[in-house]
Amino acid sequence: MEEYPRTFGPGATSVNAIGDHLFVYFGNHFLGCVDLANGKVLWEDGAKHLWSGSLPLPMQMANGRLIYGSKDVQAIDPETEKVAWIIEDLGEVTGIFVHDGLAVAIGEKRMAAVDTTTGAERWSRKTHGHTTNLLWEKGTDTLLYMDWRGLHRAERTTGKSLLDAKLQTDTPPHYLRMAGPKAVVAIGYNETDCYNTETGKKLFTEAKLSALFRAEAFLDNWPLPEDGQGLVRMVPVPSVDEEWESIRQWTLLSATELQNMAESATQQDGLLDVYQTETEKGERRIWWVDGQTNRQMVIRPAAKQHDVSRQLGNVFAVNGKTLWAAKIEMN
Amino acid sequence: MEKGFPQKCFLVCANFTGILLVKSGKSLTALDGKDGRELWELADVRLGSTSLADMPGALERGLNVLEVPGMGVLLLNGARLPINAERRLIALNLITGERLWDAAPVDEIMTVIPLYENGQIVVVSRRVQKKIFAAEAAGAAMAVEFSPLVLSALPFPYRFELERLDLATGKVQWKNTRERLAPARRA
Repeated sequence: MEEYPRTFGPGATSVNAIGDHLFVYFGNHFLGCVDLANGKVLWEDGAKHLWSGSLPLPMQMANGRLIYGSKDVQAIDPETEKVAWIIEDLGEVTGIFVHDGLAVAIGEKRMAAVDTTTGAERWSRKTHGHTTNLLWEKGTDTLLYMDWRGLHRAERTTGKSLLDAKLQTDTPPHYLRMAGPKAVVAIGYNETDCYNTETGKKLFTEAKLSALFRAEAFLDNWPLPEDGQGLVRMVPVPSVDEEWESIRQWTLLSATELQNMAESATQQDGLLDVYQTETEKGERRIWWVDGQTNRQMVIRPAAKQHDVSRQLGNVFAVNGKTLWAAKIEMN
Repeated sequence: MEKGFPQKCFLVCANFTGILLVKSGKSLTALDGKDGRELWELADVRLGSTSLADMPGALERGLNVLEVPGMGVLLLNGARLPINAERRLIALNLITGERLWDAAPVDEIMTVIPLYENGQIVVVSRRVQKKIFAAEAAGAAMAVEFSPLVLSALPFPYRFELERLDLATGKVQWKNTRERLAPARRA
């Protein structure tokens, strides 16, 4: 078996099973496709360049084709590797979102939307470098992203601009997460900011992100590794009705336990996440954004290890021989 | 809620069902995250991966203890129960702690991909190449100090392993060990 040269650092990794294939995807946009039936590698795509600090992009299927980003964004037949369409001239691709027959991709130069069936371009708009991922706000069917100019909101179907708020920090973030119905967390390498998604106003600034307590899991990759692996959801929870139906055949959980899990999994992604930031002096703060008031809620951790579950309404702490839990507000 | 343990304790596990798993000394205890009620305890289970167990903070990071979401199964990789002569990949009923099966361990579990339609999983793991990793640890410290970009140029010290197995029995369907990764055909 041939090997890569040893000077190959692919960055964070994501693994997804889609249909009959398993896709292993790295932060350097290198993608491997494995046949789930026998474990054989069917094909691989991407250059052996080194990791440049980006995260693996989302992968989605539409019309039987895999839509993913490498140098460009393309839709291919996973069986034959035949390329159906490509979105070119985006610059370095930082985000992809596919929904309802439309694939939207963003890069350092521009953002474009194409029809997932034909690849025909529906709209395109200029971006201004240092772009982030795309966040979909379901209620308004808009896409949020940041670039060197600031925080933007655009209509998904038309590309029409609805918000262009100036960047309110010296360094642009590289990753966005929804933090509440009207709040987004912008994660940079040394700074974490929170913005109001309606006005674009910066709500608060925190230090470097040091841990992420995901809403749907305890201790999902704690603390945050330098390569950003903690920002990649590694263990997929069931996401569609068919998966929940299939689980009932195999699960050891009771119907009530499964129902509880299904209800928490249907919470909008990221809205109940909790963040931990840490200053250069080692001062830690655990915080989240209250969904009703859009205000920051802060805990100053004193124990060695913590976890927070807004679902359960508990913060947990471990110190020495003691584990304790305290109630928190659950908005 | 406050619970004391006979020895220093820490939380382990990526968990989706609201159950806390606490390791203290040799014991592993499952608690209901809502009220702290003890669900089960294994009095003697040694946890650890085969190549990362002796690295600082490896267990505290929840490595090799993982719930398969929705299936009610907890995987302990590189673990040893009193009935095992050596470290194994052990599957437990998450709610009762009952041992379901054990199989040959993998190295460090990165993730488990459930295949819900047939009750199987793909275990994705990586094996650390210790000599390279140790050399890089020193280099990485310098890189962080002087130029984080140097980190990306360091040798890649892992091999990836994929293993598909039946979650009810632990029977392996196939296993694919990649020497790091194969070269790209379409570069």
